[in-house]
Amino acid sequence: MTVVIRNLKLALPPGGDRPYAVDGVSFELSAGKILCVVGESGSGKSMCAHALMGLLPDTVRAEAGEILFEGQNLLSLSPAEWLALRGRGIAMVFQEPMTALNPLMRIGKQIAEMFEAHDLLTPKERRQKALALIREVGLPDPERIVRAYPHQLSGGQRQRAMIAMALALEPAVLVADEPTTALDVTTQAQILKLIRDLQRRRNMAVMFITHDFGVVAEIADRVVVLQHGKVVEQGTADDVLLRAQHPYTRALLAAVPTLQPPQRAPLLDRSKAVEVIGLGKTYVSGGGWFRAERRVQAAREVSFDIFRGETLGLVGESGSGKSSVARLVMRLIEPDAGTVRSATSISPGSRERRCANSAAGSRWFFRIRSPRSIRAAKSATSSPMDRLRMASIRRRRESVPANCSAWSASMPARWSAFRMNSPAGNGNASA
Amino acid sequence: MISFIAQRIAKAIVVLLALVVLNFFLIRMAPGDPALVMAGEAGAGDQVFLAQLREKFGLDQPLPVQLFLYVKGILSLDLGFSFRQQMPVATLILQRLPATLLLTGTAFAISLGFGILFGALAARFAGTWADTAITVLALIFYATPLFWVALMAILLFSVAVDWLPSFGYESVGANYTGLAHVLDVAAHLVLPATTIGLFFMATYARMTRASMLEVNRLDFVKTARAKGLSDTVIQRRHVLRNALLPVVTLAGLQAGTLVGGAVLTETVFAWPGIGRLMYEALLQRDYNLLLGVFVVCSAMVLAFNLITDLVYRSVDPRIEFAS
Amino acid sequence: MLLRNPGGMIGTAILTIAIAVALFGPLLFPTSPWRMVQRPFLPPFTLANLPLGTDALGRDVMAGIIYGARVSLLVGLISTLASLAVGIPLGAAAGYFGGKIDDALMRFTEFFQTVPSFALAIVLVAIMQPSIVSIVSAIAIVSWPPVARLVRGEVLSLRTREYVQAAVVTGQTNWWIIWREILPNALSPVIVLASLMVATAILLESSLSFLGLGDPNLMSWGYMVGAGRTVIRQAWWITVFPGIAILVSVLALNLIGEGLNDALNPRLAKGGR
Repeated sequence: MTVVIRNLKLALPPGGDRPYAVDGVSFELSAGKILCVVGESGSGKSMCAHALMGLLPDTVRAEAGEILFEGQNLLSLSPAEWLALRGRGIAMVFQEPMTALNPLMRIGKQIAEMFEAHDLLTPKERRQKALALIREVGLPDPERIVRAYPHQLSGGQRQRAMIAMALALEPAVLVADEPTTALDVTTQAQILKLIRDLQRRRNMAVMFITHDFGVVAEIADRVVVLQHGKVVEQGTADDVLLRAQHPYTRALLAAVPTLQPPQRAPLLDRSKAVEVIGLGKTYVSGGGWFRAERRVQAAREVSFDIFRGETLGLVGESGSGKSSVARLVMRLIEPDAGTVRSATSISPGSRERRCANSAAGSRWFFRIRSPRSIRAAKSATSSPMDRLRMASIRRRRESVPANCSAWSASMPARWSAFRMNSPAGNGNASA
Repeated sequence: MISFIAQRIAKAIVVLLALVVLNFFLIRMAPGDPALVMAGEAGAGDQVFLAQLREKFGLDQPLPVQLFLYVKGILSLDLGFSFRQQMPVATLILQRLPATLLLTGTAFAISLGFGILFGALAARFAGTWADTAITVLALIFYATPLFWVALMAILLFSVAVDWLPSFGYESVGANYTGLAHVLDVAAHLVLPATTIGLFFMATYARMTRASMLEVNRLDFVKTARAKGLSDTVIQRRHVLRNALLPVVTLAGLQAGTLVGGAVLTETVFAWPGIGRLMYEALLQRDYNLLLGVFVVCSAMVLAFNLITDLVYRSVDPRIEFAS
Repeated sequence: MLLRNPGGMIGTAILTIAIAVALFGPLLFPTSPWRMVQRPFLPPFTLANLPLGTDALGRDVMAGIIYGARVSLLVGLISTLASLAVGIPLGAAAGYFGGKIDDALMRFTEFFQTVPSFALAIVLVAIMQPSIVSIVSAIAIVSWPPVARLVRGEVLSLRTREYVQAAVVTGQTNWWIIWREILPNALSPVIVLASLMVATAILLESSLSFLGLGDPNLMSWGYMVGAGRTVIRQAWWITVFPGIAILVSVLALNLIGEGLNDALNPRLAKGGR
């Protein structure tokens, strides 16, 4: 057992929605194994990770329990001892690669800084090791990456760089705090594979925080499920995923959308509500007397039909153009090519369009919230945890279309909760 | 990058031209005969001079012709003639410009240097008495009118204790040369430069403090801590550089206020710069001179803006010169 | 809300006193501040009814400060309102309609922003001949660009929010959207800016009066400082007290502005990294 967490209690400041962020949590990390810590937002999983690095916020105290690593209780370490331990014994990878790197420093320098922090190697050696690490995490063109700034890399590439940084000093333990949540599905799969390969090769103990059971299924050796700061289920991946005991775990597993659509009654009315033909839109930005303009083709030859009473799911990763297509259909922006025909035939005069739009009625419920109403909701619940939760609920709803890992064209349970009674059977275009 | 500079200079020239046109209409807006306005209080009595003005600026001709003649004059760097001072405006301005550049340059350096220092200190010791002291002082200096600070400085350092000179650029009649001269000018520079400096010091200190506290909350600071870097290194290498970006932007925006502050300070300390020249023009109702100084001030501001913009772009790699 | 902000409370308290002085002071001190009431250069704290002494012409400094309060506050308020009246519509139009309108309006705004504002104010007042109208106009003319910029920025960011697009989709007219959906949410930074602008306006007015460009019929704090400048060695109080009045008023407004900023733009609780 490389790391043993025993009965850990992390106390929140007074006024929170509960007294402990983490209440009597116990689990272990073993070399060569990946432990996934699963839970919803606010379950305390991130706090566990931060406790392991000594990066808890000032307002959170460790009240009881111990974290044992290499014969020491980490909760009793002095600041100087932490400085020596961080990066060397235990390293961490964070969630948002966009913001987790210093925008003004080159990637190579930031990786080399790992060595510098612990007074290791000469500058030349550090640079060489940085290059080697970049190669190891599978980044193409390492020479260029070393000299690049974070904003010049894609999200997946940045996360690889972060992983390279974390591995620099060959730590025994790697803590990953939702490292793939902010990434596209395909990139996510690559990063997961990378972590798994590196972990096997270096025999590290990995603690992987996530809220996504799909990820758990992919890489976990062992699983810990947290709810409200308490461990509700723990065991091997098979045990938890296939033979879950606790009702909470079962509920989480059941909420994962599947690719098998449930039975639906067949649509009898086959008339078309909306017809989209050959839609095209190119965004042009910049452009003046001295600089070239930038063209981004958001939509090209997009055609589909929406039948009355039908829900059409528009799936794609970020940058695929689905939001643009939705806006084009609702005539919020004008297309460069193609037409959109609705059941009520309209000419593009703005007044008529407005009326037709209100008849068609786009239903973007989870986004139609004026900041005023959100502020009112915020003031009603004053605790930081609630505010965090509200923010995460907002984020989760907004991210539902983006993280289309398994998006089914029929999700009757969820849709009926959101759908308003619309005037007789006009189709909804959902993005 | 060259095309970027060229583009910005082209823009600046357009602004200046617009200013010149604005000047033209301002003179016409003043009550009375434009010739009298341009001649100023002193020259209004001299009929020959008035006739010369009328002919040169075509004041009896239609408006577009007048505008053309005026702009043509400006383009050949002829900003008019100051009757009272009996010298071309352009000459007067060129004579006084170096003193103003010296004053504003020094004030800018003082304010930026100390401002960032105090702001960083306040952020480092946020919540302690040091932070409160710095913040309160900054608030007070930010609210104090510049001309009053100047007068108080004179009261304290020249009247109450005779430590520093409060008048002019150098000791009159002393005829120092070499190092003695430099020191003499420096002594005269202390009060005026610090006066201007105090106000901007307050601005930069508050901005730096806020910016550093803000940057400290960002994710990459947590990453740096996760590497095991000590706090000092993190503040110096990661936080400070990022935190100074908005300060640079702010410094650029302060250019106009800096020039305005120079007018007040030079007036109080009788510093022989173009600010003082503007005041003299006011007293004498010498509109030609006044507007000439105004155009030059604007040109200074534009140049300063361009420089800060270049500095910002060279420091922040996220901004390309093309955009 | 304001109770949690000591700075804001102090600022409000001072401002209330200043407004009270401006409104009721002249009732308690009916003699015009221009009248000579005693010998010149009477030091402060010597006579009970002339607590702040007299100036070079024997005028009551205290009365000057009280009457000056009116001028400063009035000029500050009216010029700020004028700036808002110009800046808000321009900024909203630029931000909402975008495109060529935005370009043109922004060029216009940029022009006014690159010109040094104090210098321009001097020129304008000099040309228009000093009077309270010309001072207020000049200050308003040099102060509106930041308002337009701010409003434009807010409108731009709010315009792409989904609830605005929802309003478009449900068929509202442009002006209704701007008026009901966007502006109320853009209001809080504008309010903060406005209070800071009043402070700046007071500084501008006093600086202009100091240089001799004030309304010759109105006793203003800046004028008093300017008048006392040449006799500063003999009579320090003529410059010190009006200056303190300016400082305190501007400070109060700055404190209020920052208090409003803290109250209207809540951040996460301080403390904790």
